[in-house]
This record gives sequence, C-alpha cells and structure tokens, in this order.
Amino acid sequence: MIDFDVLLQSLKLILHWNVIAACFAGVLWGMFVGVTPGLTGIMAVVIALPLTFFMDPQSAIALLLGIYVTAIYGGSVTAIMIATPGTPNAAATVIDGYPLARQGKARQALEMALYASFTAGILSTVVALVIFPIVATFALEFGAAEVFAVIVFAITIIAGVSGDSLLKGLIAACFGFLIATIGQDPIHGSSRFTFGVSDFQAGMHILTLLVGLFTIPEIIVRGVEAYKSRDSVSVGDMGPGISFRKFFSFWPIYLRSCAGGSLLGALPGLGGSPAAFLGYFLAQRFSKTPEEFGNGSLEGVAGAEAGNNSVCGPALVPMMSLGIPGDTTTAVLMGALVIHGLSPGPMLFESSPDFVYSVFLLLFVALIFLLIVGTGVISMAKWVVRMPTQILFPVVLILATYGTYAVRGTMIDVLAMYGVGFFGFLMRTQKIPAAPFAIAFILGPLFENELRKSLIISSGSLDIFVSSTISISFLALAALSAGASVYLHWRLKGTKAAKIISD
Amino acid sequence: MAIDSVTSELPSPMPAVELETPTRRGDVVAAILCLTAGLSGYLLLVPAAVYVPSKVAGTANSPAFLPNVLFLMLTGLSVIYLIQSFTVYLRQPAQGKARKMDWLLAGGTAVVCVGYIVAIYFVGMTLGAALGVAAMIYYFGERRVWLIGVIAIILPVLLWYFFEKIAHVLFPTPWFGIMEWLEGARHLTGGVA
Repeated sequence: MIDFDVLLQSLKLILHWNVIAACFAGVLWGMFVGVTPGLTGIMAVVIALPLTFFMDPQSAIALLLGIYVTAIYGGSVTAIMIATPGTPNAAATVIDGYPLARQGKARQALEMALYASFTAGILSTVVALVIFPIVATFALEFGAAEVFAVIVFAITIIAGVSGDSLLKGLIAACFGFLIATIGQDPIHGSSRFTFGVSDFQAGMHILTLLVGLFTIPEIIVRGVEAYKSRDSVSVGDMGPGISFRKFFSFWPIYLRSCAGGSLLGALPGLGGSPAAFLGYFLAQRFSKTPEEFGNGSLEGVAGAEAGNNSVCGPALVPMMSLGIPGDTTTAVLMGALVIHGLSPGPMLFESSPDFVYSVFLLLFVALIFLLIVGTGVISMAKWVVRMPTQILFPVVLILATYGTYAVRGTMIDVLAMYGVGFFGFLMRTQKIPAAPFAIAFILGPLFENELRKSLIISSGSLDIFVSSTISISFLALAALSAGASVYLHWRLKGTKAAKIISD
Repeated sequence: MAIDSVTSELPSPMPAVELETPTRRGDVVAAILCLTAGLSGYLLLVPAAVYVPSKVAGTANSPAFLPNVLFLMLTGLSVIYLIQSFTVYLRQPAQGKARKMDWLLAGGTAVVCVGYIVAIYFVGMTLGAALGVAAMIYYFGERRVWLIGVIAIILPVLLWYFFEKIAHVLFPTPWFGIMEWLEGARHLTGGVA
C-alpha cells in the first residue's frame, strides 16, 4: 500500500524551484520535439541527457519526465494538422484527427487530444502509484535465476513486438548484448574486445549507443525527406474549440483506454503505439456511432490519445521495481538514474522510497505543465506545423555530437556514436529493429551477472532456472510471447496492419 | 472496422522515402553478414580479444562464456534467417527495390557526417561544428545563405560558451587550432582580439 508519510516527504523533494523549472523546461523541449515530425521522444530524451550531468538527480529526472510525458502528446499536433505523426505514438490519432482538421474542426481535435492525454495520464499515474509498492514488494523475492528469467521474458517480448519478425528482433538483441560485453569482465576484470584502446576499458557508454542508434539513422532518413519536401505545408481553418460537456461525456472512453494502456504500459517493450491502437479500437467497439470512425470521430481521437498517454506511469513500474525498462524511452530514463548513482531494481524502493514516490509526483507536475503548454501550442498550431526540418536535423546532429563528447571528453565516443549510427541505419534498411538492440545493451551487464551468478551457484546446472515458480512462470511467459509473436506475424503477413505494427 | 480499411485512405503530405530494401535479396545479404559476424566472432574474435584466466577456462565463470554463447546464438539465428530469406527469394526473386536516388541522398548525408568528424580533427569542435552545420543545412535543401551563415555562427559559439566556459568540458586539440590561436591572441592583446 501507499505510505502517505513517505509520499509527503517526497513532495518536499520536488517542491524546489530548480526541480519545477527543470520539469517545465522538459515539457517545453518535449513539446517542441513532439510537434516536429521525425524528432521522436527517445531522441528528445537522449539529446537532453548530457545536460542532466550538471544537475542534481531530482532535477535531472524532472527534466526527462517532462520530455517523456509531453513528446507523446506533441506528436498528435502534426498528426491532426498535416497527417504526419510527430512521434510513432500518434499514428492512431491520424485516423480520425486529420479528417476532423480537413472538416475545419482542427481545434476540436487538438483540444480533445490534449484533454484526453491529460486525463488518461493522471488516471494511469494514480494506477502506477497504487500498484508500484505491491510489485516492488513482490520483486524482493527475486534471486539471480528469477531476474535472469524476467530479462529473458522482457527481451523476448520486445523482440517480438518490434519490427516485422521475432527472428530479426532476437538478432538485434544478440548484437546489443554483445556490445554490452565490451570492456572489463565484471567478475575477473579482464579485458574483452578492447583491442588495447584504454577508452574502451569502461565499455561503451549508454549515451553513446543510444544517441547513435536513435539519432543518426533518423537524421539520415529525414534528411532525404527534408531534401524532397521543400514546399511548405498548407493547413485549413482551425474552427471552434470543444465544450466541457462534450469532453466529460467521453469519460467511459478515458477509463477504458486507461485500463488497456496501463496494462500494456506495465508490460516490457510494448510502449505507446499499441496502447493507442487498443484505445482507438476500444472506443470504436463501444461507440454508438462506429461508422464515423475513420471519417473524423472525436471519440477516435479521445481513445487513441488516452491510450498512448496512459502508458507513461505504468511503464515506470517494471523499470523502477525490477530494473526492466518498459520501452526504449524508459530504458534511457533508467540509464539516467544509473548515471546519477541510483540503481533501478528491487532495492530502489527499499533504499529510496521517497525518491520513487517523487518520480510519480513529478509525473503529475509534468501533466499539469503539459496542459498549460499544450493549450498555448494549440493556439499556435497553424505555425507550429511549419517547422523547418532542413535546419532542425543538422542542429540536432551537432547537439548529439557535443553531448556524446561531453560524457567522457573523448573523441572515441564520438567515433563510436557515428559507427553505431551507421550500423543502426543499415539495420533499419533491413527492418532489423533498434529497440531490442538498445534494451539488450542496457540490460546486458545485469543479464550477464545474473546468468553467471546462477550458474556458479548451481555448479553449472541449468536446473536452477526451473527450480522456482517465479522463474518457471517468466520463462513460460517468454515462450508464450515468442509463440504468440510468430503466430501474429504469420496471420497478419502482407496486411496493412502488419505494416503499421512493423513501422 | 479493421486497421486495413481505416488506414488505406489516409493521405500523407510528406514525400515517400524508400530506403528500406524490401527485396529478399537484401535479406539474404543481411543474413550472410550476420552469419559471418557470428562465426568470425566465435572462431576468431573471442579467442583473440578476450583474455581468459586458465583456471576458469571453459566454465560459466569465464569472461568468454557469454560472448561465446551470444556468438553461437547469433550464428544459429542467422542460419534460420538465411534459410527463410533464401527460400522466399527463390520463390519471388523479382520484388520491389529501394529507390536509388534515396540511397544516394542518404549516402550523401553519411559523407557530410564523416566530413564533419574529419573537420573536428583538423579545425576543432567549434569551427568543425560551424562547417558541419552549414554543409548539412545546405545539403538538406536550405538555400538562404544568410540564414545558413547566422546558424553556423550562433550555434557553435553558444555551444562553445556552454561547454567550455560553463560546463568546463575540454575540447580536443585540433591539428590546426584556430580557436586556440584566437584565444591566445586575445590574451596577448589584453582582450582586444
């Protein structure tokens, strides 16, 4: 259960001007990135990460949470105005948002998206706040074999849902784990794959890999797009806003989308896009006017936006309680916590419960800022969608290079960042997904430690992985999710649905 | 209503970029590369680049244990990938191809990136950033020279000030250190330069 005394203490942690200012700055940056097609939430977070080195942990996490929450909503602005999702999470919003804009109801769609995002965000954070202590207490039962089984489950599910085949996802995960082994062996301290370069002894820095993997391929692809689309986009009339009566009449949609989104958010690897589609189809399934869906239905926008924003809070639960990130953005947040000397996992709640609660409270603060900034953005939406991407992407490239260099002050990191970036681009051309690669890299050290620890305890016997109910359950779930992934890819092969999932 | 039906009519004002190679030939090549990486990693890389203390060799406690397991897994998965992609390639050899123009444009971006890194070594982070951002903006289609010039001056100066003066991050010494020379000249002339 929630410890209200600790909750009050954590409130004191966040009520500092620097923490609040960092959160607000994060919201502004997240909104800017969200409304810029091609700049994804993960890019926003990794580019801001080097700045957090000069902050205290509370301000750092406030900045990153602000970005995380806002980039999801920001993506819906361009999705509605010009049918181009600013982030992948807004893909479902296009279906009804853009037709509404074409009918001269852009303001209604944008306001619906904002209010639905805010409402679902608040509801799902309450859910996360309630379930976190339960999960954290349960996580204390985990030993080495159990943690290993959870990582296997997480990687299997991430590999299965990212990209168009489980096989490619697993290959990407292998590469991620392998890159994580560069540097000193955690038990004996002997060098692995360093080739005499002293800068490699500490391994590849998390930021180097993430910036390279998520920024460089995107810049290369979007650069081609920017070159080919120098004409400015045209948008129609904004029209009137939405009434509060109309907004409140959709409360069952928010509740259903929030329930579905929270569930998907708490599972490793699924993230906002599937939650948005689930929210959309739940809204359609229970609608009195399902025929309007696809032609400009406010219910569709509400369902999709409530769905994708309800993953934020619950996605932090596995990250902070088990040390298993819910998606790539929470993987970066986890990396940020590690950089600031905090270890996400079963002991985090034991050692710093006030910090854990403060993270959830910061989500509430970020959502309030989202409402304020989002309202301003709606009134400027006509201009916002004309972002000059041919200028933004080069600027992002320079920022990424400086940020990567600043981590350890060595050009090796910059070279490695570009190397990973070009490799990531080639992976992308073959539809080998980046998410399993990144998450395997982040979980690599933990994965190796727990695997080797388990095998040392059992004198090399694999029986240890089937000796407890928890590890058996997670390994069975891993097998089940792998089977389900293969079956789904086979059933959807060649359909547009498969393309959406793959993208 | 299925996803297929609702998304089939969606308009998209952005131009299509086709860098992905939907051909099975591309898949076959990728599978061969992954297989080569797996085998060469297991047979050559691990023995050469992982130091294993003799008392733990061949056990789960060995530093080479996980890399070996991963390279073997990669090999196994690549074999399945190769069989799968080769079978489909034989069945449908003539599939769509990625656009040559898109690949050329993407290759050009990569060349500009490499040029930017080389520039950092030659003239340092600040001037390298000025040249890099100007080249990249021009390459991405912006033709207003005054705008490119303004960004190429303001951005590197802001970054230089933030990282060197506020965050105290030491930038690498370039082979032709113009900024260092300027800074030195400023000290010599009492801040006039």
